[in-house]
Amino acid sequence: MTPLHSVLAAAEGGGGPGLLVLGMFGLVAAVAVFGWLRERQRRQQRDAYAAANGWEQLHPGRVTNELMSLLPTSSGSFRERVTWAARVPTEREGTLIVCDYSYKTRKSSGSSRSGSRSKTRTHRKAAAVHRSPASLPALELRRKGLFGSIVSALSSRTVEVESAAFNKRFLVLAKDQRSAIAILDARTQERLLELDPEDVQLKWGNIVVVDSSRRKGEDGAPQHVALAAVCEAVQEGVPDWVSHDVAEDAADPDWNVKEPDAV
Amino acid sequence: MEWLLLGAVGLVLVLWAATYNRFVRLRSAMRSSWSGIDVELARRADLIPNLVETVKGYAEHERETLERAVEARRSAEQVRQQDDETETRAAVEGEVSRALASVSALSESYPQLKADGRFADLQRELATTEDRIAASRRLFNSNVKQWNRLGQSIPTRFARPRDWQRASYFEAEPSDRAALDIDLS
Repeated sequence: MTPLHSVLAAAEGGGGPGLLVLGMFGLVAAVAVFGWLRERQRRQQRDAYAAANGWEQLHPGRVTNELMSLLPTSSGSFRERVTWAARVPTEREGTLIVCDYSYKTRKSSGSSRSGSRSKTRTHRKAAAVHRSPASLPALELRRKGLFGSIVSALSSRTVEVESAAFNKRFLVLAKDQRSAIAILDARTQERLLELDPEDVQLKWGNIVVVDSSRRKGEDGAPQHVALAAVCEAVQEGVPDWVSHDVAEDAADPDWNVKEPDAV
Repeated sequence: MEWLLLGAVGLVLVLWAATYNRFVRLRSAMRSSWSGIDVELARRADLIPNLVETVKGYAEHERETLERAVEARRSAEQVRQQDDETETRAAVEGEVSRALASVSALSESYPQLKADGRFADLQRELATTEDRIAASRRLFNSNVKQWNRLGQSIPTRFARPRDWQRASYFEAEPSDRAALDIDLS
């Protein structure tokens, strides 16, 4: 007997319990329909904005491999895919792509007689990726939580800037701390505080900005615009000498076995 | 009850060790960022002879300004070798900044100097070096801030090394900040 048959049987039985089950079933269905309508509205709004602003929509299947190698996911994630992507015109050098992506994670939730049980969770994120021809130092900036505060206290890669508000909001991790602090000048800090991204990563000449795809009334196009703005703000903050130093280090064949500065 | 007590003592020991290690890391970071400043200041000082040579060809009458730059470089060199106090270094390097700004400003009075390719290259190099100094200084000051804060706050001060001392910031004087605005047009 399917769940639907059970509900109908309960309703036919009459009385309080049957109606209660039917009511609950209706509530779940209403939530599902509401979610679907909201997602559709979000997509329509996003597509309309993209068309009006000259964003070139990309086929998600064709860019999945390329983008998923840059986008952050949780460990043990699977079914990673880009669900929507568009190339945004930019005055800066390089390519700016905004996208939505999703991946699943499995979390063990104890064991039963029939074996171990696990819950699957789908993560949906929005991102902007700027592929820059300039060399960039490896840097990661995350919105701080309790875990971030612990990492901040224990890691030797943590960078603190002058602004207490910025340090309180973000955890910055970088191997080359001087380059990181040069990128995070007062203007870039201000922009990042204002735009409040969840995660910003600089690696291999790419700037990747990620946020949860459900954020305080900023769904759809406005969120992509904000993420693209973060990308541009960070790129603007990279001084030429930092790119030059990174390129020089990369060209040095012994760069990865270099001794640290004498202490 | 004993287990609870043992657990509490163990936790305190772990926290103490973690904080002590943080002090050690910060001391190492402070020294490393200070050597970063040192390298960039030396690089800037090395630009002075070339800059003076280039300017001399166009502005021979500005002997005083050029001598001041050479003298500032000499003083900075002496202090670098003798004294490692950040406050003294900051004051002497401030003088170098001001002298360099005066030399750079000469290009306003001598258009031929401004058009000289070598002078433009040196100016560009100088601007980049100033940016590097600023970044190194910010990193050093950030490490100093954490070092001082940890060493003075409770409970982290209980885990500080015995030889802990309040560290001084490497501050740019207000006049240095003005001197950093080098015109590259």
